[in-house]
Formats: sequence, structure tokens, C-alpha cells
Amino acid sequence: MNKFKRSNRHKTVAALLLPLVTIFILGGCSSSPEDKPIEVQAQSFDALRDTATAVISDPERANEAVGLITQFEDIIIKTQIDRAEHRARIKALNADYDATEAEFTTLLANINEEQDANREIAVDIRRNLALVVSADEWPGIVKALDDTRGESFSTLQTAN
Amino acid sequence: MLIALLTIILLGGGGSNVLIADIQFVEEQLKVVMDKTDERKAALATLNEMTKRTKQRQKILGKILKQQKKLVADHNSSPAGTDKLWLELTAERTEFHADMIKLRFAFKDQLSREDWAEIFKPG
Repeated sequence: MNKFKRSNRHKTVAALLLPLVTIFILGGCSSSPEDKPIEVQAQSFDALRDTATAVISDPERANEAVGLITQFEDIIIKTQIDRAEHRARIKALNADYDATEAEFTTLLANINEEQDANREIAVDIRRNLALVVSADEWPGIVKALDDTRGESFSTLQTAN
Repeated sequence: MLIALLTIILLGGGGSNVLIADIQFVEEQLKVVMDKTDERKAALATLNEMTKRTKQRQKILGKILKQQKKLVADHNSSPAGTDKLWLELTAERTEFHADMIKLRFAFKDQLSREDWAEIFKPG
């Protein structure tokens, strides 16, 4: 029973990690964050925090991991807000028949810069998480990630 | 009305399935808005180019995703690995945006102001 629950917790981590990391690797364009209501996401992050607490043996490290997950949640939410705004800006420009190529280039450069800044933050958080989670604990999470990879990619596709 | 085609295109990336669906939607709109002429045929061909380019990007991003998966799996993955992925992604994104901007303006040049407004009207 406990083993089953632990397995499910790993899957929760895996199902979250892959899409979330992908959001940043692909510039916030893979799993459209704004497509997922923030309140649903908050529940997922609560589950992730619970999982970290359960999986990481040392309470101090578990606490650190929970803090990092909260930082991760914050940057995901910021990305959601940014993306909605980016889409609105591009939509408005695209609708303008007289918009120039230079205007598109400038707008995209600004958007890319904002996306990259968020991505840098996310990558730093991931690196710090790897420092907090031991090498022994990490493979368990990664294995669960592999187990649910298909599901996660499916989620990615449908979420887009 | 569908979110403006370029809204998604220019954000790029993994939303390719929806992007392709959006291009198909614009194709349908185009067929409603424009008469069956050579101009319409040319505009549809441009949309087809957008679809092809987007599918090409799907393949490229699929490869990047595989690399990313390896990095995530490696507890000791180095910043250099991430940086390399970053450079590939940035270069691809730049190229994709440039291509899609070019196609966007080619498409625009094939439509009248009125047709454009009809296809991309808000709502």
C-alpha cells in the first residue's frame, strides 16, 4: 500500500517536472501555461510539495526543496501572466494590416528577452533542486519521470 | 474567432499541433472570404508553407526535447549542457521567427485589407 502511494507520488513529480521544465526549455511555448487555470496548478504544486516532503529523507533538505518548488511555482505563474500579455501584443500587431516587419522583429525581440529571463530563473531553480535532492534520491524521481513520459508528452500536446 | 494566426506562430514552438489546427482554420476562413481564384490558390499555398515549416520545427524541437530529457535525468548535468541546448534553441527560434515573419508578410500581400480584417477580426 505504502509502496503504491510512493509510486504515485513519484508519478506526480514526474508528470509535473517534464512539462514544467519543457515550458522553459521551449520558451514557454510547449505546454501553454495560460491554458491551465492557476488554481488547478496550485493544487498540483501542493501535491509536489507533499511529494518532496515524503521522498526526501532529510527534513532540512526537504524544506529547502519545498522552498525551491514554491519559487518554481512563482516563476510558472509569472510566465503564464507574461505569455497572456505576449499573445495579446502579437495578436494586436498581427491584426494591423499596416504593421511593419520591423515592428514584428522588435516585438519578438522584447518577448524573447522576457521569456529567456524567466527561463534562466527556472533553470537556476532546477539546478538548485538537484543540489538539494541527493544523487540517490534523484534516480527514483527520474525513473518515475520515464514511466510517465508518454503521459506527460500527451499532456503537453493536448494542453497546447 | 480564432486567436490570430500569428499570435501562436510567433510565440513558436511546441504548440505546433494547435498551430497547425489554427492554420487549417485560417484556410477554411480564407475559402469563405475569398472567391475561388488564382489569388486564393496562392494564399492557400503560403499557408501550406507555414504548415510545412511548423512541422519541420516540430521535428527539431522533438530532438531538443530528447536532449533536455537527458539533462533532466542526469543529476550532475553541467551548466555547459544546458547552455548548449539554449544556443540550439535560440538559433532555431530565431530562424523560425524569421521564416514565419516572411511568410506572414507574403500571406498579407496576397490578401486585401478587407479580407485580412475579416479573417483576423477580434472575437
